[in-house]
Amino acid sequence: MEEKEIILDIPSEDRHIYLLDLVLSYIAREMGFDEETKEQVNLAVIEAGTNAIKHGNKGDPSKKVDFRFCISESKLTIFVRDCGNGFDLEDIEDPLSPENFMKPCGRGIFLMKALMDEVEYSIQNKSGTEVKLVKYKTSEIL
Amino acid sequence: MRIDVENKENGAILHLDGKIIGDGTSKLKKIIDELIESDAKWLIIDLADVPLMDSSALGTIIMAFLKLKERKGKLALLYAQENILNILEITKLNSLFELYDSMQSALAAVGVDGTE
Repeated sequence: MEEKEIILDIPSEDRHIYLLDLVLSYIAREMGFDEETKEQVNLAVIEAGTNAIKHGNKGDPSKKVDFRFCISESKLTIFVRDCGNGFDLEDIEDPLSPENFMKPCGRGIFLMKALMDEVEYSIQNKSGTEVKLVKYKTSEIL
Repeated sequence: MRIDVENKENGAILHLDGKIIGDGTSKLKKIIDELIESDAKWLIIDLADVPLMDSSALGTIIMAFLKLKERKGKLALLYAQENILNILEITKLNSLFELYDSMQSALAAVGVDGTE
């Protein structure tokens, strides 16, 4: 299978997350992911997109979030990029620890890591954050 | 995403239809906040037609749980589907929320006689 690339740019408004969900569902179906895996991928990328909109671009609709979907025989790789100032990964708290468990936020990156096979952040202060998410076609994680 | 609110005495049943993601989460938060502000003592969230919810939606439900708990109220999740159960298990929130697979048991859990 020839490697393909699909690019989606959305303004930083959370209503566009539904468009992201549609595109992801299409790609996951085309790749032959089962329904459960499809929803896992959708959720992980939705979390990445929501973080990019809310925290990276601070909900400024003039700033875009770029999604790049790289499709190959064995895996789906998604790059999500915002225009924000970045953050320190060490500041991310464990949502399962007793002091954080009842907090209403802070589960996005945790879910991404739980649902995908690989999650890698590339943070360039002042020039945006990019997260790379990978799902292999044969993986079973739950 | 569609939300139908079935108002009852001292509480409400929320029937959700569709994925709770993006601005769907804001819509859910607004409705729950309004119900709690209008003094609801209990909420049942019917997830039968919800294939997916994001972490912001989980946060909205946690806030509702905490606010209701403050006034000795109750929150029950009804008919959660496999994907939602998986997310609750990963985040361990299945230990926090009360999950039910029948309307009658959910109503009983929030203190309402389901035989009406």
